[in-house]
Amino acid sequence: MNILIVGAGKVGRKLARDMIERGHKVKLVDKDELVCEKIEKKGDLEVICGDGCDPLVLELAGIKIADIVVAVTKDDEDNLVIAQLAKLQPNKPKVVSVVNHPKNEWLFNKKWGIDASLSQTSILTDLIEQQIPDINENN
Amino acid sequence: MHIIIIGCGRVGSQTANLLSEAGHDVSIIDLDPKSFRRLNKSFNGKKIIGFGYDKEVLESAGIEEADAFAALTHGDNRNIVSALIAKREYRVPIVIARIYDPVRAIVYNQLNITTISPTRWGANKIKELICQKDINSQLSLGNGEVEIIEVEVPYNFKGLTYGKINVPGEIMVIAVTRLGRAFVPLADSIVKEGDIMLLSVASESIPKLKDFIGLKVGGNL
Repeated sequence: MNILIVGAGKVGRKLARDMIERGHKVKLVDKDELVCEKIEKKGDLEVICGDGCDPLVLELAGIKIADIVVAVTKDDEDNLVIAQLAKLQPNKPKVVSVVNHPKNEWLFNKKWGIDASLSQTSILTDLIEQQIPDINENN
Repeated sequence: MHIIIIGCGRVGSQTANLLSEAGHDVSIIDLDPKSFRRLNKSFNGKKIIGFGYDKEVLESAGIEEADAFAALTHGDNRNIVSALIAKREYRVPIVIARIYDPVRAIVYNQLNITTISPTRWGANKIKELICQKDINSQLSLGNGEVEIIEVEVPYNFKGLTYGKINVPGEIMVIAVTRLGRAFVPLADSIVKEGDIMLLSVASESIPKLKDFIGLKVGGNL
Protein backbone atom coordinates (compact mmCIF):
# COMPACT_ATOMS: atom_id res chain seq x y z
CA MET A 1 0.00 0.00 0.00
CA ASN A 2 1.02 3.62 -0.52
CA ILE A 3 1.08 5.51 2.74
CA LEU A 4 1.55 9.26 2.98
CA ILE A 5 2.50 10.55 6.41
CA VAL A 6 2.26 14.29 7.07
CA GLY A 7 4.32 15.36 10.08
CA ALA A 8 7.77 13.82 10.48
CA GLY A 9 8.06 14.15 14.23
CA LYS A 10 8.84 11.17 16.45
CA VAL A 11 5.48 9.57 15.77
CA GLY A 12 5.62 10.14 12.02
CA ARG A 13 9.14 8.77 11.64
CA LYS A 14 8.57 5.72 13.82
CA LEU A 15 5.38 4.97 11.97
CA ALA A 16 7.12 5.34 8.62
CA ARG A 17 9.84 2.85 9.58
CA ASP A 18 7.33 0.34 10.95
CA MET A 19 5.23 0.55 7.80
CA ILE A 20 8.25 0.09 5.53
CA GLU A 21 9.22 -2.98 7.56
CA ARG A 22 5.78 -4.37 6.84
CA GLY A 23 6.33 -3.91 3.15
CA HIS A 24 4.43 -0.68 2.47
CA LYS A 25 5.58 2.25 0.40
CA VAL A 26 5.87 5.34 2.59
CA LYS A 27 6.42 9.03 1.94
CA LEU A 28 6.83 11.66 4.64
CA VAL A 29 6.03 15.36 4.46
CA ASP A 30 7.25 17.97 6.92
CA LYS A 31 7.58 21.74 6.77
CA ASP A 32 10.54 21.93 9.15
CA GLU A 33 13.71 22.07 7.03
CA LEU A 34 15.97 20.92 9.88
CA VAL A 35 13.81 17.85 10.45
CA CYS A 36 13.87 17.05 6.73
CA GLU A 37 17.65 17.46 6.53
CA LYS A 38 18.18 15.06 9.43
CA ILE A 39 15.99 12.44 7.78
CA GLU A 40 17.71 12.87 4.45
CA LYS A 41 21.11 12.45 6.09
CA LYS A 42 20.04 9.18 7.64
CA GLY A 43 18.81 8.16 4.22
CA ASP A 44 16.33 5.41 5.16
CA LEU A 45 13.13 7.39 4.57
CA GLU A 46 11.75 9.41 1.69
CA VAL A 47 10.79 12.90 2.83
CA ILE A 48 9.32 15.90 1.01
CA CYS A 49 10.06 19.24 2.64
CA GLY A 50 7.02 21.49 2.45
CA ASP A 51 3.76 22.54 4.05
CA GLY A 52 1.42 19.55 4.13
CA CYS A 53 -1.56 21.92 4.03
CA ASP A 54 -0.48 23.13 0.60
CA PRO A 55 -2.33 21.23 -2.14
CA LEU A 56 0.72 21.42 -4.42
CA VAL A 57 3.04 19.89 -1.82
CA LEU A 58 0.60 17.04 -1.22
CA GLU A 59 0.39 16.40 -4.93
CA LEU A 60 4.16 16.30 -5.17
CA ALA A 61 4.17 13.78 -2.32
CA GLY A 62 1.83 11.56 -4.32
CA ILE A 63 -1.48 12.07 -2.53
CA LYS A 64 -3.27 11.05 -5.72
CA ILE A 65 -1.92 7.50 -5.46
CA ALA A 66 -2.02 7.20 -1.67
CA ASP A 67 -4.20 4.53 -0.10
CA ILE A 68 -3.84 6.02 3.36
CA VAL A 69 -3.01 9.54 4.50
CA VAL A 70 -1.78 9.87 8.08
CA ALA A 71 -1.98 13.36 9.65
CA VAL A 72 0.35 13.50 12.65
CA THR A 73 1.36 17.16 12.85
CA LYS A 74 1.42 19.07 16.13
CA ASP A 75 -1.38 21.33 14.94
CA ASP A 76 -4.97 20.13 14.99
CA GLU A 77 -6.04 22.68 12.41
CA ASP A 78 -3.31 21.41 10.08
CA ASN A 79 -4.43 17.81 10.59
CA LEU A 80 -8.02 18.80 9.79
CA VAL A 81 -6.99 20.69 6.66
CA ILE A 82 -4.90 17.71 5.46
CA ALA A 83 -7.95 15.47 5.87
CA GLN A 84 -10.15 17.87 3.84
CA LEU A 85 -7.58 18.02 1.05
CA ALA A 86 -7.19 14.22 1.05
CA LYS A 87 -10.92 13.69 0.64
CA LEU A 88 -11.03 16.11 -2.30
CA GLN A 89 -8.80 13.72 -4.26
CA PRO A 90 -10.50 11.41 -6.75
CA ASN A 91 -8.88 8.35 -5.14
CA LYS A 92 -10.42 9.23 -1.72
CA PRO A 93 -7.65 7.84 0.50
CA LYS A 94 -8.42 6.70 4.03
CA VAL A 95 -7.41 9.30 6.60
CA VAL A 96 -5.99 8.56 10.03
CA SER A 97 -5.14 11.43 12.37
CA VAL A 98 -3.97 12.30 15.84
CA VAL A 99 -5.85 14.84 17.96
CA ASN A 100 -3.43 17.04 19.93
CA HIS A 101 -5.93 18.95 22.04
CA PRO A 102 -8.87 17.03 23.53
CA LYS A 103 -11.07 20.10 22.98
CA ASN A 104 -10.88 19.45 19.24
CA GLU A 105 -11.96 15.81 19.39
CA TRP A 106 -15.51 16.64 18.31
CA LEU A 107 -14.23 17.50 14.82
CA PHE A 108 -12.22 14.36 14.16
CA ASN A 109 -14.92 12.21 12.62
CA LYS A 110 -16.22 10.90 9.28
CA LYS A 111 -18.03 14.14 8.52
CA TRP A 112 -14.62 15.80 8.50
CA GLY A 113 -13.10 13.11 6.32
CA ILE A 114 -11.32 11.35 9.17
CA ASP A 115 -11.76 7.58 9.21
CA ALA A 116 -9.89 6.98 12.46
CA SER A 117 -8.38 9.25 15.08
CA LEU A 118 -6.44 8.98 18.28
CA SER A 119 -6.36 11.43 21.17
CA GLN A 120 -3.50 10.67 23.51
CA THR A 121 -4.76 12.96 26.25
CA SER A 122 -8.17 11.32 26.30
CA ILE A 123 -6.66 7.86 26.44
CA LEU A 124 -4.43 8.90 29.33
CA THR A 125 -7.38 10.49 31.11
CA ASP A 126 -9.35 7.25 30.74
CA LEU A 127 -6.42 5.20 31.98
CA ILE A 128 -5.95 7.43 35.00
CA GLU A 129 -9.62 7.29 35.83
CA GLN A 130 -9.55 3.52 35.61
CA GLN A 131 -6.71 3.50 38.15
CA ILE A 132 -8.51 5.76 40.64
CA PRO A 133 -10.78 3.07 42.16
CA ASP A 134 -7.69 0.90 42.73
CA ILE A 135 -5.89 3.76 44.43
CA ASN A 136 -8.93 4.41 46.60
CA GLU A 137 -9.12 0.73 47.52
CA ASN A 138 -5.45 0.65 48.42
CA ASN A 139 -5.94 3.59 50.74
CA MET B 1 -28.30 40.22 11.13
CA HIS B 2 -26.28 38.40 13.72
CA ILE B 3 -22.71 38.18 12.42
CA ILE B 4 -19.65 36.46 13.85
CA ILE B 5 -16.14 37.57 12.93
CA ILE B 6 -13.02 35.60 13.81
CA GLY B 7 -9.85 37.66 14.01
CA CYS B 8 -9.68 41.30 15.07
CA GLY B 9 -6.77 42.32 12.86
CA ARG B 10 -6.96 45.18 10.39
CA VAL B 11 -9.50 43.55 8.11
CA GLY B 12 -11.48 41.90 10.91
CA SER B 13 -11.80 45.06 12.98
CA GLN B 14 -12.67 47.17 9.95
CA THR B 15 -15.36 44.69 8.87
CA ALA B 16 -16.73 44.59 12.43
CA ASN B 17 -16.82 48.40 12.60
CA LEU B 18 -18.64 48.72 9.28
CA LEU B 19 -21.22 46.06 10.10
CA SER B 20 -21.79 47.42 13.59
CA GLU B 21 -22.26 50.94 12.18
CA ALA B 22 -24.78 49.54 9.73
CA GLY B 23 -26.82 48.36 12.70
CA HIS B 24 -25.93 44.67 12.70
CA ASP B 25 -25.38 42.61 15.77
CA VAL B 26 -21.70 41.64 15.63
CA SER B 27 -19.65 39.27 17.81
CA ILE B 28 -15.92 39.39 17.28
CA ILE B 29 -13.51 36.72 18.51
CA ASP B 30 -9.74 37.03 18.94
CA LEU B 31 -7.12 35.32 21.09
CA ASP B 32 -5.43 38.62 21.90
CA PRO B 33 -7.50 41.02 24.02
CA LYS B 34 -5.27 43.91 22.88
CA SER B 35 -6.52 43.45 19.32
CA PHE B 36 -9.93 44.85 20.32
CA ARG B 37 -8.33 48.30 20.55
CA ARG B 38 -8.74 48.44 16.78
CA LEU B 39 -12.50 48.61 17.18
CA ASN B 40 -14.26 51.97 17.14
CA LYS B 41 -15.50 53.43 20.41
CA SER B 42 -19.01 53.19 19.00
CA PHE B 43 -18.69 49.42 18.40
CA ASN B 44 -21.46 47.94 20.48
CA GLY B 45 -21.06 44.26 19.65
CA LYS B 46 -19.68 41.44 21.75
CA LYS B 47 -15.90 40.99 22.12
CA ILE B 48 -14.86 37.47 22.97
CA ILE B 49 -11.36 36.26 23.83
CA GLY B 50 -10.65 32.80 22.53
CA PHE B 51 -9.96 30.41 19.68
CA GLY B 52 -12.00 30.59 16.50
CA TYR B 53 -12.74 26.89 16.54
CA ASP B 54 -13.42 26.33 20.18
CA LYS B 55 -16.96 25.03 20.54
CA GLU B 56 -17.65 26.92 23.78
CA VAL B 57 -16.29 30.17 22.39
CA LEU B 58 -18.32 29.87 19.19
CA GLU B 59 -21.47 29.08 21.10
CA SER B 60 -20.97 32.00 23.47
CA ALA B 61 -20.72 34.18 20.35
CA GLY B 62 -24.16 32.90 19.37
CA ILE B 63 -23.14 30.76 16.39
CA GLU B 64 -26.33 28.72 16.64
CA GLU B 65 -28.37 31.77 15.60
CA ALA B 66 -25.78 33.42 13.35
CA ASP B 67 -26.80 34.67 9.90
CA ALA B 68 -23.25 35.14 8.71
CA PHE B 69 -19.73 34.10 9.66
CA ALA B 70 -16.40 35.53 8.49
CA ALA B 71 -13.04 33.94 9.33
CA LEU B 72 -10.47 36.73 8.95
CA THR B 73 -7.44 35.74 11.04
CA HIS B 74 -3.88 35.72 9.66
CA GLY B 75 -3.82 31.94 9.39
CA ASP B 76 -5.23 30.30 6.29
CA ASN B 77 -5.66 26.96 8.03
CA ARG B 78 -7.34 28.50 11.04
CA ASN B 79 -9.71 30.38 8.77
CA ILE B 80 -10.65 27.36 6.73
CA VAL B 81 -11.25 25.18 9.80
CA SER B 82 -13.38 27.87 11.50
CA ALA B 83 -15.35 28.44 8.31
CA LEU B 84 -15.98 24.72 7.85
CA ILE B 85 -17.20 24.44 11.45
CA ALA B 86 -19.67 27.28 10.84
CA LYS B 87 -20.89 25.63 7.66
CA ARG B 88 -20.89 21.95 8.63
CA GLU B 89 -21.63 21.94 12.33
CA TYR B 90 -23.89 25.00 12.64
CA ARG B 91 -25.22 25.49 9.11
CA VAL B 92 -24.59 29.24 9.10
CA PRO B 93 -26.08 30.51 5.79
CA ILE B 94 -23.27 32.85 4.77
CA VAL B 95 -19.69 31.77 5.44
CA ILE B 96 -16.61 33.62 4.23
CA ALA B 97 -12.93 32.79 4.75
CA ARG B 98 -9.94 34.93 3.98
CA ILE B 99 -7.24 32.83 2.33
CA TYR B 100 -3.90 34.41 1.45
CA ASP B 101 -2.62 31.58 -0.72
CA PRO B 102 -4.44 31.80 -4.09
CA VAL B 103 -3.88 28.09 -4.86
CA ARG B 104 -5.53 27.09 -1.62
CA ALA B 105 -8.35 29.54 -2.19
CA ILE B 106 -9.28 27.72 -5.41
CA VAL B 107 -9.17 24.34 -3.67
CA TYR B 108 -11.26 25.53 -0.75
CA ASN B 109 -13.94 26.83 -3.06
CA GLN B 110 -14.60 23.15 -3.75
CA LEU B 111 -15.56 22.81 -0.07
CA ASN B 112 -18.42 25.28 -0.65
CA ILE B 113 -16.77 28.07 1.30
CA THR B 114 -16.68 31.54 -0.20
CA THR B 115 -13.05 32.56 -0.10
CA ILE B 116 -11.54 36.01 -0.39
CA SER B 117 -7.95 35.99 -1.51
CA PRO B 118 -6.56 39.48 -0.84
CA THR B 119 -3.37 38.47 -2.59
CA ARG B 120 -5.03 37.65 -5.88
CA TRP B 121 -7.61 40.40 -5.65
CA GLY B 122 -4.92 42.98 -4.86
CA ALA B 123 -2.63 41.77 -7.64
CA ASN B 124 -5.48 41.88 -10.17
CA LYS B 125 -6.49 45.36 -9.04
CA ILE B 126 -2.95 46.73 -9.18
CA LYS B 127 -2.39 45.24 -12.62
CA GLU B 128 -5.62 46.86 -13.74
CA LEU B 129 -4.58 50.25 -12.37
CA ILE B 130 -1.27 50.04 -14.17
CA CYS B 131 -2.40 48.61 -17.49
CA GLN B 132 -6.00 49.66 -17.97
CA LYS B 133 -6.21 53.13 -16.56
CA ASP B 134 -8.86 54.11 -19.08
CA ILE B 135 -11.28 51.32 -18.17
CA ASN B 136 -13.96 52.31 -15.71
CA SER B 137 -14.91 49.21 -13.74
CA GLN B 138 -18.22 49.44 -11.88
CA LEU B 139 -17.87 46.17 -10.04
CA SER B 140 -15.22 43.55 -9.64
CA LEU B 141 -16.48 39.97 -9.23
CA GLY B 142 -14.85 37.08 -7.39
CA ASN B 143 -11.20 37.98 -7.02
CA GLY B 144 -11.22 40.27 -10.03
CA GLU B 145 -11.61 37.58 -12.71
CA VAL B 146 -14.69 39.31 -14.09
CA GLU B 147 -15.30 43.05 -14.27
CA ILE B 148 -18.54 44.89 -14.88
CA ILE B 149 -17.71 47.84 -17.08
CA GLU B 150 -19.80 50.77 -18.27
CA VAL B 151 -19.03 52.04 -21.75
CA GLU B 152 -20.69 54.44 -24.14
CA VAL B 153 -20.99 52.78 -27.53
CA PRO B 154 -18.41 54.07 -29.97
CA TYR B 155 -19.73 56.09 -32.89
CA ASN B 156 -18.83 53.43 -35.45
CA PHE B 157 -21.00 50.79 -33.68
CA LYS B 158 -24.17 52.62 -34.69
CA GLY B 159 -26.53 50.32 -36.59
CA LEU B 160 -24.84 47.09 -35.45
CA THR B 161 -26.80 44.56 -33.41
CA TYR B 162 -25.94 43.96 -29.76
CA GLY B 163 -25.47 40.27 -30.52
CA LYS B 164 -22.42 41.18 -32.60
CA ILE B 165 -20.69 42.77 -29.62
CA ASN B 166 -20.80 39.63 -27.46
CA VAL B 167 -17.76 37.35 -27.46
CA PRO B 168 -18.77 34.03 -25.83
CA GLY B 169 -16.94 33.50 -22.56
CA GLU B 170 -15.20 36.87 -22.75
CA ILE B 171 -17.42 39.87 -23.30
CA MET B 172 -21.16 40.15 -22.84
CA VAL B 173 -23.54 43.10 -22.94
CA ILE B 174 -25.77 42.69 -19.90
CA ALA B 175 -27.74 45.95 -20.03
CA VAL B 176 -28.14 49.08 -22.08
CA THR B 177 -29.20 52.53 -20.94
CA ARG B 178 -30.84 54.61 -23.65
CA LEU B 179 -32.19 58.10 -22.94
CA GLY B 180 -32.21 57.34 -19.22
CA ARG B 181 -34.07 54.01 -19.48
CA ALA B 182 -32.30 50.70 -19.02
CA PHE B 183 -33.11 47.41 -20.75
CA VAL B 184 -31.59 44.02 -21.41
CA PRO B 185 -30.78 43.92 -25.12
CA LEU B 186 -31.77 41.08 -27.43
CA ALA B 187 -29.22 39.69 -29.86
CA ASP B 188 -30.91 41.64 -32.65
CA SER B 189 -31.44 44.91 -30.75
CA ILE B 190 -29.92 47.72 -32.82
CA VAL B 191 -27.17 49.89 -31.33
CA LYS B 192 -28.12 53.60 -31.24
CA GLU B 193 -25.90 56.58 -30.80
CA GLY B 194 -25.56 57.58 -27.15
CA ASP B 195 -26.35 54.11 -25.80
CA ILE B 196 -24.47 53.22 -22.66
CA MET B 197 -23.64 49.53 -22.35
CA LEU B 198 -22.99 47.62 -19.17
CA LEU B 199 -20.57 44.85 -20.04
CA SER B 200 -19.50 41.77 -18.19
CA VAL B 201 -15.86 41.20 -19.18
CA ALA B 202 -13.33 38.51 -18.25
CA SER B 203 -10.36 40.46 -16.87
CA GLU B 204 -7.94 38.88 -19.37
CA SER B 205 -10.20 40.07 -22.20
CA ILE B 206 -10.03 43.73 -21.19
CA PRO B 207 -7.23 44.46 -23.71
CA LYS B 208 -9.44 42.88 -26.38
CA LEU B 209 -12.34 45.10 -25.34
CA LYS B 210 -10.08 48.16 -25.48
CA ASP B 211 -9.03 47.20 -28.97
CA PHE B 212 -12.59 46.54 -29.93
CA ILE B 213 -14.01 49.86 -28.88
CA GLY B 214 -10.97 51.97 -29.74
CA LEU B 215 -10.18 52.92 -26.15
CA LYS B 216 -13.24 55.13 -25.79
CA VAL B 217 -14.06 53.79 -22.38
CA GLY B 218 -15.43 55.60 -19.35
CA GLY B 219 -19.19 55.97 -19.74
CA ASN B 220 -19.12 59.76 -19.59
CA LEU B 221 -17.32 60.65 -22.80
